[in-house]
Order: sequence, then structure tokens, then C-alpha cells
Amino acid sequence: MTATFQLSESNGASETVTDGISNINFGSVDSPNINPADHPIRAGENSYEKWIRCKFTGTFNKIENIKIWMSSGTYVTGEVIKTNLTTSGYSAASYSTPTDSTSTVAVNDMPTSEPSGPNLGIGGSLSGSLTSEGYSDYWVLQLQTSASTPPGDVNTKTFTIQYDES
Amino acid sequence: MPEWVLRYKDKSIICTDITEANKLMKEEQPEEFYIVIGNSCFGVILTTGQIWVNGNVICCDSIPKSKFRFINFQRVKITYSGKEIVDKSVEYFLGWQTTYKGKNIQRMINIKPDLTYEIIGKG
Repeated sequence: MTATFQLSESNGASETVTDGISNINFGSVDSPNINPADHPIRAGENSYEKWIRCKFTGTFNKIENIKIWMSSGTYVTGEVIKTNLTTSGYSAASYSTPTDSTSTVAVNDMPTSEPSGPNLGIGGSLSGSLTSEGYSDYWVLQLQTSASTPPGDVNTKTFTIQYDES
Repeated sequence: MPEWVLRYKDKSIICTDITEANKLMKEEQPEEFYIVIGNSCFGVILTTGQIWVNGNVICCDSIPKSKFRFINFQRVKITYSGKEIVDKSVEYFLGWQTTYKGKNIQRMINIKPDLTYEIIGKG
């Protein structure tokens, strides 16, 4: 057996956890697996934050060195994705109710190339590891727009998630 | 799917996953450890630190009387686009780490998904 990987999203004030989410669509509602057409973001406003974790189940000895980056996809005018991912000065985000106000947690630009080292921690540290089933720290994202962002769908983005398993 | 082989003096053990192979490594270190992927074979001789590919040693100078700490892990890369996983690839890393003359030395072979490889390390 080896590790099984899933993405898990947390929502709501009392933190409802949904394992095995099927998408990371941004929208104007705090909910997993949303259809963005049903919850559009108005130009100049933000999406609700996404509070995502990597969940590892199955049998493994160690999981470590998580790296996440946006490997393809381009922004439209005025669009940006902010995140808490970082390779330096890292501190794990503590869960708080997702907001559509400008995030105070997701304050870094989403990396668009493979980072030089891990940028999402485990157990509060970039050098942390899992030796049994569990979650990474929170990966927090928010899509932000400006008044000049054009109407309609934004471009699809591709995220790459990498980890080491021994 | 790859197979991980631990070769001892008097026996070989074949594992079908990395978790099992690394668990066995903790119990008793074999003389040699190798991965079989398709028709290719990538190994490390743990008594000398030499790394080989398909039977040919490609690295490294032997470090006398060193105790090698074995390294064996896989790097999983998952790509999501829209609603689905569009790609999942695995690279393998196999090698050792030791201290020699006060320096930490590490050598590994990095086997890419297309079975090309490179030696990486520090020290």
C-alpha cells in the first residue's frame, strides 16, 4: 500500500470538512464543489476564501515536502489569486470562517512556477511530516478582482501539488 | 508498477510498494537495493555506495569504512485542472547519505517518469 491523496475543504463558522472535493472553483459563496455560474463574483469584489488541506490516507512511512504552484493558466485583467503559501517566514494558518473581504491570510501571490522548497507545512512547519493518516496545514486561497475585470468566466487554472513519500 | 528488491547475502526480497520496502530496510540493511521499472534497473550497493543503472556503475567513488544511511523515496506530482486530475507522475530517488571527514555527503539517483535519470547530491 502507498498513500492515497485527496483535497479537503473546510467551510462555515463551525468548520464543516468535506474530504475528496471535486473542484476548487471560486465563487460568491462559502461552499465546496460550487458551480461558479451560480455564484458569480462581481468585478471589484473577492471570492470567498478557500480553506483547503491535503489529506493522506492509506499506508505509508512518511509524507513531507509539499509544494504547490499554479502550473498553467493566465489571469484576465484585474484578476489575481492570493494565497498563504510561502517558502520563508512560514506560519500555519489557524482556521477561521472563510470571508469575501480581502483576505488577511492569503496575502501572497500564487506561485506560478515550482518553488525552491516546500511552501505548505505539515504540523505547523515546512519541515514537518506525516507518519500516519492525516492532513497538511491549510492552503488558503482567494480570487481577487478589480473594477476593470471583464465579465464572464476567467481562464481555467492548473494547480500542481507535489509531495515526497517514503 | 515498479518493484523494489532488497538483496542480502543469501536471499532477495521483492516488494511491490515503497512502504513495505522501507519498512524492511529498517529491520536489516541488505547489501544491495534496486528498483525495477519496466525493463530498466536502478540500484545502490550499500557496502560501497556505488549507484548503478542496468548493471553499469555510474557513480561514485567508494568512501572507505563509511556507514551509509539509505535514502529511498518517491516524489508524487498531481496536477488539477478544472474539475479533475489531469496528470499524476512519480519520480524515484535512491541513494545514501554519510558523514566523511566531518562532511555530510549525499548521493542519489533521480529517476524521472520517462526513465531518464541523473545523479544528484551534496557534499
